[in-house]
This record gives sequence, C-alpha cells and structure tokens, in this order.
Amino acid sequence: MKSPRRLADSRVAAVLPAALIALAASGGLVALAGVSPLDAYRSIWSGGLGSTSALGTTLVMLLPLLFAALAFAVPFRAGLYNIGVEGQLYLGALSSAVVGLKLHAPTYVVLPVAVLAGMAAGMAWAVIPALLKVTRGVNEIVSSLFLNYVAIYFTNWLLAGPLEAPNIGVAQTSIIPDAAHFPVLVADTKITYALLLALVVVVLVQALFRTPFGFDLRIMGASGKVADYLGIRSGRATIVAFAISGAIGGLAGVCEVLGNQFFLSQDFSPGWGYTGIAVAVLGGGVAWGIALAAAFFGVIGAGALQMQFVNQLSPSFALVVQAVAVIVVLLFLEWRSRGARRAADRPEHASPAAPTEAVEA
Amino acid sequence: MRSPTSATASETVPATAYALELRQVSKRFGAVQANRAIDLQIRPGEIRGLVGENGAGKSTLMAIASGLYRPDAGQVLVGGVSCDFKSCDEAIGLGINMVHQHVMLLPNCTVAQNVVLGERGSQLLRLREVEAAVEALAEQYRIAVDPRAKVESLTPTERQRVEILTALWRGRTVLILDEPTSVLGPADVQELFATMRRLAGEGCAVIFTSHKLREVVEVCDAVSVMRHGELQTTVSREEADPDVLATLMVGKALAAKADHALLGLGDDAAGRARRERGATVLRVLERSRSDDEREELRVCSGEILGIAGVEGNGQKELADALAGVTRDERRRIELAGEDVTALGPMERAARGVAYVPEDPSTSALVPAFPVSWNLGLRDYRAPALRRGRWFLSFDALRARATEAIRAFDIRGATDATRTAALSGGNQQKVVLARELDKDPKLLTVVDPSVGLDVGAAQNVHQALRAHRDRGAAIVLISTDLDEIEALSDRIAVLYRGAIVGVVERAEAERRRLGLLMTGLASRDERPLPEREEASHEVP
Amino acid sequence: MTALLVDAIAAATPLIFVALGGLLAERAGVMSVSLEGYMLVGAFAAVAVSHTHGQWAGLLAAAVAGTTLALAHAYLCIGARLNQIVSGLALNLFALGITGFVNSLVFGEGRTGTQVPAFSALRIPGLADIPLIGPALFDQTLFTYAIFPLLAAIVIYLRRTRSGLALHAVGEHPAAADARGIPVNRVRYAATAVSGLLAGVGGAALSIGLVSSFVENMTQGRGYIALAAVVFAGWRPLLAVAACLLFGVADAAQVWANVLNVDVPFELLATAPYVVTVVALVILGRRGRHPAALGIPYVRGQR
Repeated sequence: MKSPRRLADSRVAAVLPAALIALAASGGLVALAGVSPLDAYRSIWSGGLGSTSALGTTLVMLLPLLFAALAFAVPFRAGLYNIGVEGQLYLGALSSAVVGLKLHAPTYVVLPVAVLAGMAAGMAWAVIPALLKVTRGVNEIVSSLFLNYVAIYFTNWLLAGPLEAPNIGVAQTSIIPDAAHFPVLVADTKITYALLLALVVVVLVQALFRTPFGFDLRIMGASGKVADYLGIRSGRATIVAFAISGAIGGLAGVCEVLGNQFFLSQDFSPGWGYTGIAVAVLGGGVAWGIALAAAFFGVIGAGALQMQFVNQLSPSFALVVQAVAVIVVLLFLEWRSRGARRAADRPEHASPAAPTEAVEA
Repeated sequence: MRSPTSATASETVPATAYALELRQVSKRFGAVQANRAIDLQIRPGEIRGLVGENGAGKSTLMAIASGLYRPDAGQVLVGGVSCDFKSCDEAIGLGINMVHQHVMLLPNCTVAQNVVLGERGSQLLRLREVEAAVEALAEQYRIAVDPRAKVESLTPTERQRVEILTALWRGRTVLILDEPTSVLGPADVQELFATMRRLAGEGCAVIFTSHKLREVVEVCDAVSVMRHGELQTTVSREEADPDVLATLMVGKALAAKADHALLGLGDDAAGRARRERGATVLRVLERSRSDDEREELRVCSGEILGIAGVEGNGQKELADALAGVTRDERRRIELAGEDVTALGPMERAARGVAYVPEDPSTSALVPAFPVSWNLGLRDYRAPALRRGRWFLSFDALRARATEAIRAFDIRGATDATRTAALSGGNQQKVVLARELDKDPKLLTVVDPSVGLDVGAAQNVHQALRAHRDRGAAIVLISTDLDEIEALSDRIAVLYRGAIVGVVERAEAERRRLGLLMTGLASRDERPLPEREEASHEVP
Repeated sequence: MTALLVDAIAAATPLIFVALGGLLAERAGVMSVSLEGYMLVGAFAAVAVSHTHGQWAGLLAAAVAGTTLALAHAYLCIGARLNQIVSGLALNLFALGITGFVNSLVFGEGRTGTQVPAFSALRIPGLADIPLIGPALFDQTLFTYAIFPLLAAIVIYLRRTRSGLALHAVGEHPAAADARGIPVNRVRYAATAVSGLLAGVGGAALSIGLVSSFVENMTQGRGYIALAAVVFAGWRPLLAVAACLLFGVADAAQVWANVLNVDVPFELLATAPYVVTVVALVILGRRGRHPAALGIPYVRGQR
C-alpha cells in the first residue's frame, strides 16, 4: 500500500517516461517530413535548454502555461472544470495593460496596482460561471467556455477602438511604459520577477491543499456524496475555488503582457488557457508536478521555434509532442492504478470467512 | 464435502429433463474462489431456493447461469444441451431470465419500451402493438401494471412487476429471482409467490434467492445452501426449516451465535426490562399546513428505536433529515430541547449527532482516501489536528488512526491503507469508529448489516447495543424486520414518507407490523392529524 | 434579409453535422469534447485530398479522418477509461498540432489558403424561387440538402427503432442494457465512430463547402459551439439543429452588420450567440437533463 505522498511521487514519476515516449514518437513525425530526428532533437536541445538565452526563452514560454495550469488545477481538485482560463487571462492582461498605460507613477506603485487589477479582473470573470452553477445549476464547463469568447471579443473590440494605438493601423495598444514592466531578474535574458511570482504561486497552491479548505475541495472532488454527508458548503467552496482560479488565470495574462510582450494585441494568446489544462493533467494536478510539466511544455515550445528556424518545420510540431505526452501519461497512470486495484483484491485484505464484496457485486 | 445433489431429484429423472443444470462450475475473481465445482440440477416446474451468506457465491452463480459471467471451468446445460454463453443475450434466447436485486429499468421510458429493450426483431418499433401485447401478457399472469406508464412514476413494487413482466416476455424456461422480496411488503410478497407458483405450474423452473429464510421455506420445493463458494447441500421442503438452513449456511460452530442476528431470536428481554429510558434526546415534529404540529417521533437516551418499513418509503429522507444532510420542510427537529432544524450536518455533529447512512462505504467514506483521512472526516478542522495555524497535520491524523484501528479491530488496515481495499465489514468499522468517537448522544443508522456476513453484522449489532447501554439514543432504520426485532426497544413503522405507528417491542406483533408497513392499518395509536379531521368536517 | 438567411444557413450547415454526431455519442454516454478535433482533421483531410483527387475523394477522406480520431477517443474513454473531458481536450490539442504540421508539409510552411476543388451551391430550380426562404434552403451546397434526410433518419432512429432504444439504454443505464444482452461498449464504440464520421463531414462542409481552402485552426471552436448546441438542446436532435441555426444567424449577422455599416461593433455582435446560450442555460436552469451515464465508463459488476 502506498502513502498519499508516494502516490503523488509516482504520478510525477510517470511524466518522465511519457515525455520520452512522446519525443520518440514525434521523431517519426519529423522523419516523415524528411528531417533527421537527431537534427530535430538537437534543435530542441539548443532551442530549449542548451544556452542561457535558450533557457530564458523556455522560461518565458512556460510562464503563462504554468499560471494557466495552476488556475485550472485548483477547482479541478474539487471535481470542477474551469475551462474559462483563456478568457480570464485575456481580461487579466487587458486590465493590467490599461493600468500600465494610464497610471503614470513609479514602478513600486504601478506594478502592484496592475498585478492586482489583473487578478481582480480574472477573479471576477471566473466567479460568474461558479455563481451560475451554484445558484442555477448551469454546467460550469459550458458557461466558462462560452465566457471565453465573450472576453476575447470584448478585448478585441477595445483594441480596435478605444485602446487602439494611434498611427499603426493594427488593432493593438501602444507600448506600455517601462514603469509598469516586471524588472529583469537575470541580466541579458528576458527572465523577470514574474518568474519569482510564479514560484510563489506554486508554493501557495501546494499549501492550499494542506489547509482545511483545501481538504474540503479534495473531499468534494473525490466524492460529492460524502461532501454533502459531512455538510461541506460546496456552493461556497465552488465560488472560492473559482475565484482563486480566476485570480491565477488573470496573472497568466498579466505576466505575459507586463513581462514579455509589453503591449496587448488581438489574438494575444495562442490558447494558453486550453493548453494549460493539458499541463495540469500532465502534472497530475499537483502544484510541483505542474511546474515540471510546464517546464517540459516550455522546452518543447522553445525547441519547436528553433526547429522552425533551423529545420523549416512547422511549430505545430510542439502541440503534437505535448498532446501525445499527455495521453501517454494518462494511460500510464490508469494502467498503474488498475494494477493497484487488482493488488488490493488479494485476499489478505478480506476477512478469510468472507471473500471481498467484489464477488457479490 | 457432501454430495450436493438432492437424491429425489437426480435419480428418478433423466438428465435431459432438467430445465437448468450446472456441472462442476467454478469461477475465480483474482485470488477469491467465488464458486468451486458446483453441481446444481433444476427440473421444469420446480421452485428452488438458493440461500447463503453474503459472499457465499450466490450472485456469481446466478450471473453464470444467466450468461453475465462465463465460468472458468464446468458446464451449463439448458434442457440437457451444453451451452457456452458469451452474453446475457444468448441465455435470454434460451428463455433464461433474471430479475435483479437492484431494478434494471430505464426511468424515463415507458413500461412497454422497457419490456422490449434488448429484444431482437424488426428494427422498427410499433409501440401501439407492443403495448397491447404487453398488456395481454400482464393480464395472463395477473400482474397489475400499465404498459403506457413511465417507469419513473411507478412505485418500487410496480417496478419489480415490470422486471418480472420483462422476464416473462422474453421467455419462460428458467426464471431467476435475486432477492426479489427486499422491496416488497408482506401482501406483495404473497402476490409474488402466487405468480411464481403459476409459472411453475406451467413448467417454468424458478430459482429464488433470499436471505429471509422463512419466505424461502414457505415457497420453495427444495432449498440449496451455499457456503464459501461451494454448494453445501440441497434439502427438500419437508426437511427445511429456518433453523436448519441457518445452521447449514454458517456452519456448526458459528451457528449458535449466528441465529441471533439471523433470525431475530436473540431477545435480551430481561435486559430490556431492567433498563430504564432516560431523558428525551430527539423529537421529530411533523408540520401540517395549518401551523399545527404533531409529534412524529420521540427517542430517549438509552433506547434503540427501530424504524421498519418497506424499501423506498422515505428511509433515506428521514435519516438525512435527522443528520441535517437535507432540510425536510415537513419536519421540525428538536435535539435535547433545542430546535436544530436549521442546522447543517457540521453543527449537528458538534451537538452530538452521529450518522451511519445506507451503503456507508461510498456515502460516508471516500474510497480513494487512506483510512487515517477517513477517520478524520468529521473533525479535521479541529485545532488539535493543525500544524501551525493554517495547515492540517496529517501526522496527527495518522497517529490517531493507529489507535482507532486497534480499538475497533479494523483488520487488514494500516493508517495509510486505501479505504477501498478493506472488506465491507471493515469499512463499516471505520465509519462506526469515526461516528462513535465523540460519544454522540444520538446515532442514526440505516440498514447497518446489508452486505455484511453474519460475523461482521454481529459486530455492528454489538457496537450498537454497547452504545445504547452507555446512554445514547439510537435510531435504527432498517428494511430487515428480523434486525429491527432483534435490536429495538420500540418499533416505529415508516410508510409513504411518514411514521404511521409506534409500538413497544414486547407488543410488536409481526402481522400488525406488516399491516402498518403496507398502509393497511390506520394510525390508531394516536388521533388523526389535524388536517385530515378538518377535511371531514366539510359537508 | 434573404441574403442574411442564405449566409446563416450556410454557416450553420457544418455545425449541424458536428452537433448531430456529438448528440449520438453523448446519448450513448460518451462525452464529446473532441468534436472540435474531429472537425478539424476532417476539414484538413478534405482539402488535402481534394487538392489532388477532387472534392468527392476529399469528402471521403474527411469522413475517414474524423472516424479515425473518434475511434482513438473511444479507445481512451471506453477501453482505457480515462477522464473523458481531459482526453478529449488532449485529442483536440493533437488535432490542432497534426493538421498544422501536415498542412505545412503538404502545402509548404507558411503558405496556407491554397484553393482546392470544392462543392459549390446547387440551385434547385423552382423551389429556389420561393420568396425569402427559397434561396436560403434551395440554393445551397449538397451538404445543406443532406441535412434533411440525415435529421429525419436520426429522429426516427432514436424514437422508433430497437437499436435507438438500445443506444438510449446504454447512455442512461448501461447495467440494465447489459442485463438485456445489449453489448454496451460495442454500442458506444459505434456511436463514437459515427460521431467522428459526421463531425469529419462537418469539417468538410466547412473547408470544401463553405470555403475551398484550409488554414490552421480553421474550425476556431466550432466543435465546441456544436457541443454547446447539443447541451442547449437537452440532447434532442431537432432542438440541436435549431440551436445551430441560431449560431448561424449570429455568425452571418456579424458579417452583414459590417457590410451594411450598421453602427454596432461587430466584435460585440459576435458575443451574442455565447451570451444568448449562457442566458438560456440560466433560464433553463436544472431542467436540461443529460444522459445519466454520460462520461462514466461501464464496467460489468460495478453499479
């Protein structure tokens, strides 16, 4: 029998072989395109890990994914699906960009205000599907997904009109003044204090599930029936979980716009909110597992950029590798837990007089 | 092992005449041998009882006979022809039908649709024709059910009739009834028996499993007894009486102890007389439309109030209302004089209310959690279980679990064992250990021995008696009259969601309880409720 | 007004195929988050094959591609019993990547939008002259015409046939279906495969019906919209088609508001179908009942 800690360990241990299998399988795909898989792997190495600047690229690429995945993971532990992270990160980016553009003050004023504004916007947007679920029984998957489109179109409208930068002819904001940028953490890279913020959030999410409230969420996720039996206030917990999720989702947008792009454009996100779900699953829903999974996605993403540059391969390649990795991990975990269940059927756990109830079921 | 064959059956009749024959059938699940080399022969027109403890392998055997499982070894013969069923479909094709213990019907379809579900035939369904045919069949067997009614609008009894009708529709060679009487009141049981006898008269072989031995003896021509996956013996109707069957089911050694739990013979009347009822712990008041209240229930410290009733008459609703899981608009609940109607499960637990619901292994335990977490589900917020100000101390939970595992003798468990890996009896112990931990003054239990073998059920009964003797009030809601009679000091009857009568254990007569359970006796213990009197006054 | 209706129905056509496919799989108890993926691979396969072998071969390729991906989903959900939402989303990610990647191989990196042979509108003389609805219903591609028999077939199948009843049983109460001899998982595999086929055809209706080229991620969430139409319709086929038409109208209205210079920003108009759906869900509240066994894998002997 495994302790819960060991179970979590085994979850993370599944990520490594899955990543290797996904890379091997994708080698075939690359070969199909007439490129030697070894060249491709070399590109991934040099683009994603091989140098300080490559590492910088990787870390920059993984940040929004990491936040989005953590955002998804919090309600997911309670069996709730926030598919609306994409919209939450758009609104987070939007409000922090507005603060950055309009509030002229020193960094130590602008940056915290912008960050809080982004978190608040994401939080407010995420609470809507939670409220609809709790008060009206509306399926949160559908409502949160649909609110994404509303948020994105709303942002696009502002970018094409009220917030459009003068004289470029592209629907995007002006460059946000330096005062609102995240300060650089490692010289000559794009690594900023946003990375530290991400690490803090990883630790906080990890800690959350050791608090009584986090335990409530875990019970809700494991069995809604037991949560009702115990009298856990599921409605309130749902709203709080979505609020936390939305705030973290907002941070994904904030850190990208104030730490990397420095302006907000239409089609700002390549779907981080959705890819983040895959990252969360790859990481087994546990904060530090998610950090590892995000690192993997970051390396593959940065490597794919290098492959586009060196080997003229479409960066869509990264999505294939990532998707295969997630599916392999899921299969791996399922097989393993089935094996554990079979082991649990061994008779030493049943009293000798009575075979387990599985027989009578 | 003794030869399982009944001498009268096997020697006089040629093998080809058996409606159903199992030869040396074995089935294994993982390391558990569910059925071992079973021989069973059933003649057309015979009603055969099949009894055994939970886990004795009855359900597996019936699943093999009905094509749901394939045996690892051995043969199934129908009408003397060896069959290798790959699915239920093939067994049904030969006229072998099973009525499952848990109703297997589509709630949002009509009776007729349910009857023809899975039947082969022309793709296009002509519902009118089907409805007429179903109606004709129902009339033929005097089964009262409307083929056009939606199943969700039917009572549990009616749903079972639909199941039987479905079986008859598909074929009448062998009919297997798995615990069919658990949802029936005494009158409906007689009706079922009449249908069974009618079928047998037409040459259908009927197999009847039940844990109510009196019923088995009443209706069956012969009774086969299973134990530990083996067929112990088959006894004829003349030899069979509940005591004999009980002894065969559990083996000689255990029998003396077991018949108490099994048959309700363990009457500690002497103890009951000596004990005195204490102060009122629980009062349940029924609200009527005109703001008047009628006392529905009163439970005192030091007593077990048994609540009898046929399954589906509001047992879960009442239990949930007592524990605060759901709010019942029609009921006001007072705990030791305090109105707790508005309080949820947590507040009530803090006031000494404990609750072991129906099927506790999934409704009161998280199967995926380790035992230590499940033991802490009621009080993980307590300051004593914190590390620092904010965090749960999983170490403290673990330390406490080790104690509870020892105190309650939870076998096969360490604090880190996944709860799902424990046997049903030990999962029940985990729930009891947690719920009795704070010495609650009110404990509600629902069907505590369902799914447990005799030994485990006895442990549970002992724990309940011991807790009562410590001065607690216990509400025991059970669909098993034997269990109610064995444990209760007073017995109340639940019918259509309301208590229709309360009697002292000593005065409780089975026939009278049966009438109350099926709504045939009025509430003559008390005046009629206000609203009904009011309606009489209207000219 | 007529022109708006024409565009609305044209825009709704691909959605209807995808929604009807998703409806069948979901009625059998398999969650269909991966409709987006089926549709995308269908759209791409249609264009890639139509490029060399013509539109009919393209249509066939779309059906095959959608079915193949759906069988993968079926294996992950039914065989391996993974979380159906998560595995569906992973497959969508896979579909997005693989179509983008192979597209760059077939048509060259960065060169998207190559025109290929496609189905054009087929005017039905006489009927197309009916005022208002004539052109909308009878001056469309074959895909639109195919909807009528398809919808009729699905409605009859679900309401009036034995296998339709069996499909319903598998989605509502698989244990009951199993006890009656219905092969639960085989029915689910079949329903999922058909959903992939229809969604693949829906993809073709987009890429070689509505337009005649492929661009990366060209479905842009239409699969999710189709799924929402199914939920919105409470898993009933006629209502699902009506919901798709609503989305079609909103889609067309955006374009026309732009063309006609109506003083409503098209971005805000574009949010209309989503807002309407969410509001409708709020009003319907808990009434929309999903198939009881939706998303729950069936294991014999577990209740």
